[in-house]
Amino acid sequence: MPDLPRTPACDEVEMDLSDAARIQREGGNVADHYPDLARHLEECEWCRAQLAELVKEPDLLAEAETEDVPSDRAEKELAAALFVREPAVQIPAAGRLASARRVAPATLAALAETAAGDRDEDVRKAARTALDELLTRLAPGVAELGKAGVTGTLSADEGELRVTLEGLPRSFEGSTPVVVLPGGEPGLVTPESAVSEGRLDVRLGRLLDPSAGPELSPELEGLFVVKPEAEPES
Amino acid sequence: MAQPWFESLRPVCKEACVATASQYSPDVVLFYLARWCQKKARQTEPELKAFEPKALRDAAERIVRNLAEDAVRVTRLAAGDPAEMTTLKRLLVASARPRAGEAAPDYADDALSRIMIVLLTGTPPARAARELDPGPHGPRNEYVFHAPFEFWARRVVINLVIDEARRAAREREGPPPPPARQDSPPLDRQLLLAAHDALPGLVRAIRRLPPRQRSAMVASLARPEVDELVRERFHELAPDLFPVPSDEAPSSDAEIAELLASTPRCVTANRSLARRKLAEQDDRWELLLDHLLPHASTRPLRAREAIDA
Repeated sequence: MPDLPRTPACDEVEMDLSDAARIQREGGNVADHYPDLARHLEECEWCRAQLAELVKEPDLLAEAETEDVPSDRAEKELAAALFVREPAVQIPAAGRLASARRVAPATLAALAETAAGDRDEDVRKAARTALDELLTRLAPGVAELGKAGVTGTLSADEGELRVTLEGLPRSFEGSTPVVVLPGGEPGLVTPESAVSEGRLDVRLGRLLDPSAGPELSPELEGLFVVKPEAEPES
Repeated sequence: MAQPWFESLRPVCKEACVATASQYSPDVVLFYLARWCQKKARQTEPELKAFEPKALRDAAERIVRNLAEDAVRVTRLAAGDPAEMTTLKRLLVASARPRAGEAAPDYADDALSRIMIVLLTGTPPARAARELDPGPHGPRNEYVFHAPFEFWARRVVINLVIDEARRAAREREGPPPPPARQDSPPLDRQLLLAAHDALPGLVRAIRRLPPRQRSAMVASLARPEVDELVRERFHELAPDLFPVPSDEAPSSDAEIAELLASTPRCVTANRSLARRKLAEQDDRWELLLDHLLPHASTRPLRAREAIDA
């Protein structure tokens, strides 16, 4: 197919392509219903190719085996929606996540990152509200650094940055929670050992400048810890 | 008090509902017709006089018809029903298969993601009447029952496949890379700083990609052709994702496919889908990826290829 770029004219008529395909498949004339589209199709191979594919009946019998979509797919898509550059998508996504009964740590991390870093103030606000609601509902399965007696001490060991958390709630004892660093790398960390006497040691990665000491960055200040099977308060 | 801009559409919605004894109230049809007008005009409060009365009547009738056919399915998808998503995915794979071959499931999965984001954040029929009060609004690509759902959904995946086919055709037919590119002038300092600042965000976005897209993108960025300093920086930022830079790392799509137990066509498809997704999120990432993973027609020859040429 020769390369013809998508043009503004393609954008003008693209909404009509789907219904135009229905009309053609039913034996109708596209020009009777969408004259602008019909004129455009005479000049645009890109849109003609799309229409031709749409008109074809998909061969469903040949696709008997399709992997089942997992039950958490909707949550993952809502978390992904937080990073689409469109407040009309991001704000409702945050709103729906806020009312979820239970979410994965990665979803909390996505909300935290959006709350801290999105360029739109309304989106940041929506993400923060959703995150606060979830953290409250998921307690006592969530512990935030600097709240309710949870403290953290940074250290560097052979160029590697570590944080030692202390004062974690009793409900975390013996568990291996997920550590969330909103907006920071590596984002989510699963520690190598379990919580013991309220204490958890976490490797955060290599110091980018080994000659500098460990510093409490904004990402570390926002750190929180989530039990993987955090149950909401009833 | 002035009427909302869309109120003058109410009679045509009422007519369409009465003509078909629709189970949906005119308010529901009014919401979607108003949204259709907004999308067509690309304005929040479009000038309705710009629409032909026949076009508005036709649109209202289509919305009523498509609500009857598709509202139940769309409502289930908007609620996140996994079984309904699986059925949709099967349709998308079948639609992609003729042009995409073995990469059809990858395109279908990306299309499913795009469709679900729109449906999960849009307004399902049960809420449409209520949403008239604050004024109709929604995602730019919202499905507003203006076409049968199946055709609308299939267009999403066909769009992705055809775009990739065109890009691949462009690569095959493009001019050979100019040898002078290897001595191209260095980037200016501001651009370098911007690129440096953008890398951590790009790494986080790569982490969020679906697994097959992430693997293809990571393997592509780890290729020996990518600037060694950049590969080192990727490794520093995310040692769990990006390996220690090595000249022995897989370079061609065939080699990457072998590493990932995939096929070259799937590697290309997933990298292209990942690239598109990242570019949509941040313009700096698009520029960065254009520089790090130039398209074949502008990519400098590897030393071996340069000798053989």
